[in-house]
Amino acid sequence: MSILSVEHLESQFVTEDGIVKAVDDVSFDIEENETLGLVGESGCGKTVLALSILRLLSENTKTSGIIKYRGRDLLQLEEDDLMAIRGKEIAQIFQNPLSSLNPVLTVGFQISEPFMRHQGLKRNAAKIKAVEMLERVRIPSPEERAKEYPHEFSGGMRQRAMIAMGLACKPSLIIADEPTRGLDVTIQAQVVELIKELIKDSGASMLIITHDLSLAAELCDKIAVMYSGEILEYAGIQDFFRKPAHPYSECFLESLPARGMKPIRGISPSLINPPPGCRFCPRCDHARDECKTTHPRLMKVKDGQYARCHLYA
Amino acid sequence: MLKTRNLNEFLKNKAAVIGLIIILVLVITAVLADYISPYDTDKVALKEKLKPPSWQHPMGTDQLGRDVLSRIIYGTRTTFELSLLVVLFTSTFGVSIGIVAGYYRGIVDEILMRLIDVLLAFPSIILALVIIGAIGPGVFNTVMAISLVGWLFYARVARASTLSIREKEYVEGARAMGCSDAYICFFYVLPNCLPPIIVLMTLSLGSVILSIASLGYLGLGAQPPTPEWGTMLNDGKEYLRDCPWLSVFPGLMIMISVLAFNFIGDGLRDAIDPRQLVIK
Repeated sequence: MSILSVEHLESQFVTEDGIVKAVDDVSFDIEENETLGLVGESGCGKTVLALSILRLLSENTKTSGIIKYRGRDLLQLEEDDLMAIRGKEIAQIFQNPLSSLNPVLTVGFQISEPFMRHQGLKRNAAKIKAVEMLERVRIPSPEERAKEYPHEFSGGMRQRAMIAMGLACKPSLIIADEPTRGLDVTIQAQVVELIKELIKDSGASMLIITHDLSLAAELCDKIAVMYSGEILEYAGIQDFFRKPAHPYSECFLESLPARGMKPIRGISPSLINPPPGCRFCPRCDHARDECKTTHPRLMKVKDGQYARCHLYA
Repeated sequence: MLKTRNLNEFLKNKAAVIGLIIILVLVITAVLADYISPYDTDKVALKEKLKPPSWQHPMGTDQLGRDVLSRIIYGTRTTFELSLLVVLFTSTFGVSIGIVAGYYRGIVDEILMRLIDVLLAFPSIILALVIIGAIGPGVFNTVMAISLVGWLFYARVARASTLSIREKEYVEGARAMGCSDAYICFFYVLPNCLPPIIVLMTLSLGSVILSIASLGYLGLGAQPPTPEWGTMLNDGKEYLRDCPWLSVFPGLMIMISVLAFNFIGDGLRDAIDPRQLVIK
């Protein structure tokens, strides 16, 4: 059974210019022990999707659909029940480690919070656990470091502290939103190694959100490509890198520095009133007449690989 | 968070340091009033009345022959106790209201803020007069009357800070960790909006002292024989031409203490203003 199953998820913001469909009819499953990578360029709705899972979006967002976590629909849960799941069963690691840590509390205090909240530990016991967590994410002299404030940490250490906080209660699902953003390449590699190891140890499932395909290649079992609020392709990691099905995925891969760094022409469409046909069609080299008028369904390319493209009709 | 850097910044400000020294001296005076005041404040000695300053009575005596210096010293205690009480009440209440309004926004926020707008539109001293007129004069009623207006500013400042803090990623992070709203307000929002509140507290201590003295002067604050600067000022006004020391010394004390708190407040604001930290 899949640990998380998202069906027909839609998240909309009401703005003065109209309704922005940041997430539009998205469905996917994450199995136990599986890591799914959600990739796409900036502004395609990845982060909104991540935030809708734990219902962390602001009140002016309308979210509909089904998000089943172990058979329970998170969108229907009472706020109190959801609070018990947040941080304990599903943890979220945020993209900006400096602004995601409270500047006025020590790092140790913040890591001990989930222990007190979800495991009912007293402050001192939780502090000891927090130091253990810092040690696990390989922060040198964790005991002293726990007493320091976030601004006294380097970027990589802050991200590791965030990871420690996320993993504190041994969650079964981790949502990591751009876990390596803003870190330089050597630190990125360390963080990736760390995440890899920790997932292997804990056996947790993971949803990684990134625009960095090399990161996805390192960590993921499956990939979902998001574009303009929709999933355009869904594939196993091997298939995706060997033979991407959707023209957009192809372009996306070719834009990698290692594969020629070819830019994709044009810009992604506005999320308010997107074009009626395929959303990628204005930028697509394979576009036909029907692409402009009919919106494609997600079609099966082969076992485990799906693409939202008329080429596979 | 206040750090050593802020402290150094504060200590570099001469006016602020002078203010701090004055306040420290006044606080020590208030605490040790029983030991340092040369005479009993209530001891009437009609033979000694209206004596100008001398070695025996450095600030002279009043119309009942009471020693003005002793009354000033005990007046320090009265004034500081009352103003601290007011600031404590107003900041606690105002900050709670402000955080709730800013955190939940929506209709609660709208109602509270409009109420504050209405109250702010009233001249505060007149509002205080009305309240005292209704509930009667007295020390505790003075505190209540001034507090009723004082919390408005805290609520506004706290709400403004909360509005920006609630959008911060660490608040989102705390929610993702399963923290409740109350916990977030207390451990995440409150400490982060403290710096402007602390500045406001010091600055408002000055104006609260002034309000207490004003009410005392109008005969609505501390009632005789309680020694209080504003009341003393009022008592002295009858003899202003012949015995100015009765009014001059309490007036000076009011001025010095208000000035000192304003110096400290300005110094604190300069020291912990985040905009200035960015420029450096």
